[in-house]
Amino acid sequence: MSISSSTSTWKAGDTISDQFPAGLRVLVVDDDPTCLMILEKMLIACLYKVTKCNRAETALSKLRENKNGYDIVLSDVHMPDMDGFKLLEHIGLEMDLPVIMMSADDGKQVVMKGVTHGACDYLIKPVRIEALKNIWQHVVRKRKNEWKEFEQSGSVEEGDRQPKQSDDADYSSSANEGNWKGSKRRKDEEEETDERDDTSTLKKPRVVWSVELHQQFVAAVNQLGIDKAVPKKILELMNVPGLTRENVASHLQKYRLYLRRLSGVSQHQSNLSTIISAQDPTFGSLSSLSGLDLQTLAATGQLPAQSLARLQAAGLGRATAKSGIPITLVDQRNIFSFENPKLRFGEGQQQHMTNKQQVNLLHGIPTTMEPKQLVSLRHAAQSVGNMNMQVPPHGAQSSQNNPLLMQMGQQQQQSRGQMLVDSTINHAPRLSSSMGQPILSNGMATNVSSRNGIPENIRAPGYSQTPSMLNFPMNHASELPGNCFPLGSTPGVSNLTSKGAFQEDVNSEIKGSGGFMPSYDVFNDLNQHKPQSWELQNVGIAFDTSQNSNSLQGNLDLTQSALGQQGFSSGQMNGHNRSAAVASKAMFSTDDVKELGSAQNVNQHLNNLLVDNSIRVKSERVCDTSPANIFPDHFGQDDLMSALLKQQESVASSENEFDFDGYSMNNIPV
Amino acid sequence: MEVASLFFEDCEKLINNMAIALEQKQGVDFKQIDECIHQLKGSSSSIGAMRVKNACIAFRSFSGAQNREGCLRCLQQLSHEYSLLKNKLQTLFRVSVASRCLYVCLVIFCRENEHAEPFPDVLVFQLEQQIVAAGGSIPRVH
Repeated sequence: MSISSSTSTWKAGDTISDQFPAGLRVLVVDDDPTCLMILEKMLIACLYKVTKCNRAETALSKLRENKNGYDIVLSDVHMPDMDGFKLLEHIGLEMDLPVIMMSADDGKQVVMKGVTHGACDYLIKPVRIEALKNIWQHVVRKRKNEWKEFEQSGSVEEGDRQPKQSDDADYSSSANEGNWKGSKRRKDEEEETDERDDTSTLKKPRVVWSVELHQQFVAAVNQLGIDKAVPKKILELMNVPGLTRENVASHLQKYRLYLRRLSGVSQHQSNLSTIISAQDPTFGSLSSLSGLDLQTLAATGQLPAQSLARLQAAGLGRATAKSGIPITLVDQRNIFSFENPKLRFGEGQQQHMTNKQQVNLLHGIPTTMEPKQLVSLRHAAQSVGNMNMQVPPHGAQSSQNNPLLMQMGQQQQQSRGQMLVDSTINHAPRLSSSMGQPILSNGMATNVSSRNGIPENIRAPGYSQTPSMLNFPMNHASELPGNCFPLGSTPGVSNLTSKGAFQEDVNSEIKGSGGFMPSYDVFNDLNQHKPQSWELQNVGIAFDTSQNSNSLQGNLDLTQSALGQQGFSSGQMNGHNRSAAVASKAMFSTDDVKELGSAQNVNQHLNNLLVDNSIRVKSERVCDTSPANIFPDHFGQDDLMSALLKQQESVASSENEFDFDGYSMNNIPV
Repeated sequence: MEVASLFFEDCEKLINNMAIALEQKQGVDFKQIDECIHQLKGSSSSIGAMRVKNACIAFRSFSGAQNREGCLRCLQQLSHEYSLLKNKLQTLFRVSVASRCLYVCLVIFCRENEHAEPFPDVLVFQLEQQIVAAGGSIPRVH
């Protein structure tokens, strides 16, 4: 019985509880050895059990290997290997431990940042011993809050931890719950000191929010809708044995904070944008889905405000916004998003699959990550798009690429970038297909389906042909003139493939483009609000842009080509803008910082877009991204970006005239 | 006292880094300097070295303004303060062990250092330990 177990535990913990707060297990992280030593000595003087690390990675691994080994963490803000706030988020999401930040920096901004990131407290160095004597209150407070959550949620588990009454009470009607709560609370208070200590000692085996778990969580949240997501329902949806409502509740809280922070921060962080753009491919796939979601969201009025966050989240792998999207997709996406972070985190922080990681990725992931992301994205895209596709998380990008490519068509396999593109492309088409159906209502259905069809078609030829990239483009090129929408997308794809041909040269580019892809996706998303011509234009643009990049033509060329593509696609301005956006985005991805701004704008813009657009954009993006991938890294991104941006702003219908000729002129021999 | 020696070691390293960084012919990396200063400020304040800390703060403003000459001047000042501190602490330890009287040591130290804040507890503990180890007694006088 839990009571007996708890009592027995209590017995074990009695000694500790009697001395509480003595024996509190503290983990100190600080890169300055002097401070570390001083803190350790002071903490020992407070009769705490101290473990010190001077690197955040060490701290995280220590925390992970011993989930219940620590009660509280003290971390410095400024650390060379990882930002203190990132560490804070990680810990909060993964282990849900109280974290106290420290710094000699007492600026209000920094302190505010600490608070918003979830720090329990913020100490200014020099840390005084009185302050350290009081840190145990944070431990107690946190436990108490969790307990309260538990009570309220009435989760099933935790029998041993919580007073058994809670279990019974949980099942009882809500009417009784109040009474039960009251009595429980009373009992709690009586036993509080003991129990608290006990619970803290026995305490919950900390729930590790692994990637899968988090994906499930996000899927559930998306399904319910971020505003309507209540821990109880999430718990039910997740259906994970051993997970308590309280775990879910606290995780949800963190997640919400994280999203809020993202939406507030995304605009300001170029990296973030870049990353987001990088994630666009994933996004794209997600976006297509989210397109629907967006609609839903828009309908619910959630979209505008949260779209950015959602998209970002989506980028991160959290399809929060997608309430309508099938969970599988979401999960898949989430998986990908997680994967992306994985890929991104070159450090091999596989563990950083949490959202935070994703966020972190956003925060500072170099563009280099993008390709990885793309890879993962592709996987994601594939899985998402295909729904059926079970894209195994590929740790190795190359390996990932291959599978993805296979799906797409052999053509793309060559370069990684290509693969990325492919995945994106595949992704997009898939998504469109998946999205298409839902989007039918939007009217994009036709496009979508056509789009889907096309990518498939395109791919088919591509596949049949052989993995040569050139072949692929050829097929597409011929198809392109068709201008049917799907073709447009194909050209994008074909461009990619053709670019693939250029692999040798393009390989690097592709990688860059890979980065682009995400931007494209993002861009596409943005373009979403620009309805209509969806894929073609984007594709065209992407195509052009990619082409331009390949040829290393001036940025203007790119823009123009992008425009041309638009014209090509069907004179659809939107596409044009989108392509431009995509292109610019692509540029963004490669050129994080600078483009970021635009990308961000685009993203935001995108967020505002309706679902329809998003969906369309996605498919287009896919194609677009392909070309984008091709964009050489050295592509004058800045220039391109500015050019693209300009184009973006001035969506001229005139550009529609471009046809694929424009793209063909890019020097890409087809 | 290992804390103090650790601090000295750390401080010297940081000062050297900053000196090197400021000597760079090609573009001084002010960001790195800023980080060093921040770290130094943190350690010095933790150890109770007020003057060093204040010097760091002044230094920081120059590094923020990317003023190389100002930074060089501040760095000199910082080194100066640091040497002073080092001497004082060493003297303090010697005196504390020799006299085995913590109180006296603290008074001397504080007066010399113009401490505006209480002597860091951690150092007090360490001093106490040392004194006790040396066979002295800790008077509970304040």
